[in-house]
Amino acid sequence: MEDEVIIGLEVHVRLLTKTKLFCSCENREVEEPNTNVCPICMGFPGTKPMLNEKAIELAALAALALNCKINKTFSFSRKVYFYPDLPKNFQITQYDAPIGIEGELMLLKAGRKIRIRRVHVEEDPARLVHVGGDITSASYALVDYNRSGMPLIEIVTEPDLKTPAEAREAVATLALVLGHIGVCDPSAESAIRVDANISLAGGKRVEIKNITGFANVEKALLFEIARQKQLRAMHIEIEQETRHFDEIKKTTSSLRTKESEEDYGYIFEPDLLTYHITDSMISSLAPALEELPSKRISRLISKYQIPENYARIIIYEGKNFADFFEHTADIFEDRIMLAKWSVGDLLKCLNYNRIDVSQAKITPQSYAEFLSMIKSGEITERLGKELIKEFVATGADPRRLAERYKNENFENLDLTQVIEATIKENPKAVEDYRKGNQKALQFLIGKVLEKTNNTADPKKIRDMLNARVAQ
Amino acid sequence: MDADAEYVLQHVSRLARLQLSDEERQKFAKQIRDVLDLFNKVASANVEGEPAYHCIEAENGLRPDKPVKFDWDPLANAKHVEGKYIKSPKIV
Amino acid sequence: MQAAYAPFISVAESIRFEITPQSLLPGVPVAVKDNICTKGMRTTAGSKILENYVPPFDATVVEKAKKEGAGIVGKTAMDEFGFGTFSTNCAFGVPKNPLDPERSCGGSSGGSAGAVAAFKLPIVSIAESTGGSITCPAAFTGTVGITPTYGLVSRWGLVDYANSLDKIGTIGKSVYDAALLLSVIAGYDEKDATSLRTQNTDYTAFAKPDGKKLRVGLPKEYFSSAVDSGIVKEVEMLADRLNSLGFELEQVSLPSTELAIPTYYIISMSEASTNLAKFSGLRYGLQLEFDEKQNIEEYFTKVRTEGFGEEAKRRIILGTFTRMAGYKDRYYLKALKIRKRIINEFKQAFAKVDVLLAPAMPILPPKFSEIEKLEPAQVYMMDILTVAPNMAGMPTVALPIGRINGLPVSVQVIADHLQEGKAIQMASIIEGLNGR
Repeated sequence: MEDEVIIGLEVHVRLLTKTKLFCSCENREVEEPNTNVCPICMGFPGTKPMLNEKAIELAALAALALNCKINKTFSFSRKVYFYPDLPKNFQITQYDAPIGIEGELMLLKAGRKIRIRRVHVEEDPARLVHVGGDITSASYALVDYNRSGMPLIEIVTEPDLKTPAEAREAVATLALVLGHIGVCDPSAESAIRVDANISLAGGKRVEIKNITGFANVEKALLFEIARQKQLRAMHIEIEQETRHFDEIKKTTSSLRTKESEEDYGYIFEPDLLTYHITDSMISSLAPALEELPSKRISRLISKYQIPENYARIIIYEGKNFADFFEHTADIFEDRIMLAKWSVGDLLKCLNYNRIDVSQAKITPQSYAEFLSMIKSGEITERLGKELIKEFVATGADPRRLAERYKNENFENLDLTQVIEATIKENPKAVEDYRKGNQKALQFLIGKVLEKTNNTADPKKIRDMLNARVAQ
Repeated sequence: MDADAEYVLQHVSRLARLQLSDEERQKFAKQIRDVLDLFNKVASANVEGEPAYHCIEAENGLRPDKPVKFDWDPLANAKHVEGKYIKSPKIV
Repeated sequence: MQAAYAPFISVAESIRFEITPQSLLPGVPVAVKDNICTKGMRTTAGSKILENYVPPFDATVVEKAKKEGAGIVGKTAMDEFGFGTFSTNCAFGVPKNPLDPERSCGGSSGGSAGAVAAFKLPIVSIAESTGGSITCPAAFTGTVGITPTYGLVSRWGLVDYANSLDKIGTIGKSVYDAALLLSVIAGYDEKDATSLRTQNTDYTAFAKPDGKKLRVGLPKEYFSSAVDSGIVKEVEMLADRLNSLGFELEQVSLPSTELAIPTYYIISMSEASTNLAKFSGLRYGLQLEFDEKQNIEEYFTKVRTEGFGEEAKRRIILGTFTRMAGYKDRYYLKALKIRKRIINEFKQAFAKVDVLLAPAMPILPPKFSEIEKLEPAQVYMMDILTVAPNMAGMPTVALPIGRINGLPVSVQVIADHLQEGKAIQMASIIEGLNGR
């Protein structure tokens, strides 16, 4: 009999603010260690936290998007544990009164909703670099406080997930939803980090800490299920523990931590106040909620008259991609062509280069120009499919790209000569075509195109071939 | 009561990252019992109503989301430094 | 004076005064309690764990005092992190009472009061009170101490003891001096969320021995047998005198006073145990050598064990306990509810009277030889008259009214939230009676 698997997630999402949660340092990754820091986020004596109002707006927005009940009066707590990534040796988080509770998240592939237990705001710890090994074997550690104090929300699900694939879908869906409404930028490095709680029915709960990447969520859980099942098969009891996921080996290993939930000794954060979410703040968030993926898909369909499957793909690629599409649609009229190219070759090239559209050097303007060159017949669709690779990879001006391409290849080429040569080289196909074989014509057009490196217009080739063969 | 004092000395001092000498442990045991006797007046008091987290409530003290750079040397007080990092003992 | 009474932990090497014709404190020497950060000037909070700590910024109060032309002359001795009543828990020498060097200045702002009492020149102190740390040393040294409403003065730059209770205030030779310094350091600060949005106020305008007759309440619990009978008698004589001058006197009751001490210590220790977690030997403060065999728990434990004094350790351990799951509801949360009740009792009293008048301390300044014999729980009981107003965040002025055997006897005048003016006015009237 298969053991039932029970999975719950704690998803940490970095909020898209300009500054950190409690100080005015910038909320962005900085390469050089300890340069984006101040005495507050480094926990110096005498400093006091000041709560970022934008972080509260975004947290409330996330809670609303997940259909949570909003705690209109909320506060912060100190969660005390000693760890070198925590400058104060306590984390300011929400305990008694999180900003949102009792929400839900629809999983399309799984075909059901899972319950969200709570959404709360907290500060990110610093980044640790383990020197001379991993966390369990290093000889010492280095601390970079640049990340310390960055604003996070933690989304805690109920243990409603049944498979690693569902867990992955839940994280991906959260990223999608929160990305579209501007709560976070899922394409940013470690913008989403997951702790997964997993148990086999009747067994003890194991927590896997700090997994980044949707695929890794699935992999870590798959490994952990296999490990637990193996233990169970050998009648070894599964220990309640915290484990660390090794991204390279794709395995989990035990992390000895001595503190448990009872030991955190939460108290009210006395340097902060009891805060209130006003009705006017909630109504000011309404426009952002219009950007939820389901609503945005409908809007794309009706506004741009594009097929639903295109709209769906565009939205599922995330906010940056959808924004790019819409900005291009503002200046390029053939929206169906735009949609088709976007979900086709554009996406293919972005994926090939492993970049988000926001990281590519192309702009809606250059992309629109590129498409209009195809639409006007200035370049062929085939050439377009070739040029887009370099266009996406380098962001070069599409018109220059096309010119350079033609110069380098067959700009001065006489199409008549190419056709003559092709006919000479393929007497059999010419014969077949004369007998009325349409496939032979396609074959000949292909050969001519090949010789022109896809620069010639297939229509023109067809007309010229027709005229020549009919002679 | 004695069980509490014992728990305080054993478990809690370790949680608080303090190591007590035998002498301190003996001395603290009685002192902590006395203080806990005092504290138990609170534990046994009959109080209803709301807690007061502060004596007086300030208004929504929120900060605008505007970056300000703090000009300083964050490592000036640090003894254990490697490059621009703070150096720390290993975790386990 | 430093040699004789040791009020300072650090003394300024040189002072630059920024004086303009508008300066409120032109060239005035200001002593600052050593738990208040001074940029570039060592700030230890009386603890070995911060022995060589040099803050990268000035506390808001220090910045404000400098801006008004004052000079920071030194950082004053105190009980480690404010944990004490006699300033004997200081890692860098114990300040002695200038009225009798065998006796304590009180605590925890002992050096702040001692400096004001020791020097025969117009020096003022920026001090800090969590549960009575201004009233106590002011009373023991015969100086005037103002503990303002919680939130009136910014805490930015104050090394926290118990954040929901900590109040920066002033000590001076007269009500006027203390009120003037308060006028300079008070006011809203965008760097402290608990700071109150108040108007700038010139408190010296209240420091006059006249004005309208205030209604005076005498809280009966503050005249109990726990208070030295000689002190009670002095305060009762003062009350009679006020009565004969036409002041309306009324006995009031603050029934939760008996719970004030444990309530205060539970809240303050719970908060303190979290505040002190940051001192663990990384980035600043005491940093010991470590090698590759040592893990972080061992290192943190070693630093903290070596760096904290005995009373700090006791309070960290007790405060960690009172907020643990399973105990938190009984201690920490219960104490917060009692605090609410204590605040309400003060509010009810202030519905009837303008100010409360009570003895400041239950004893006269004790000798160090007597202090040594006290157990911690007995020391905590010395705060019986000060913790309740401190927990309620009510502004208080402590000032001397007479002497017994050459030792000062002081009263405290307590007013409602943000009614510093009334407390200062009443204190000035009392000061005037004594012909100062």
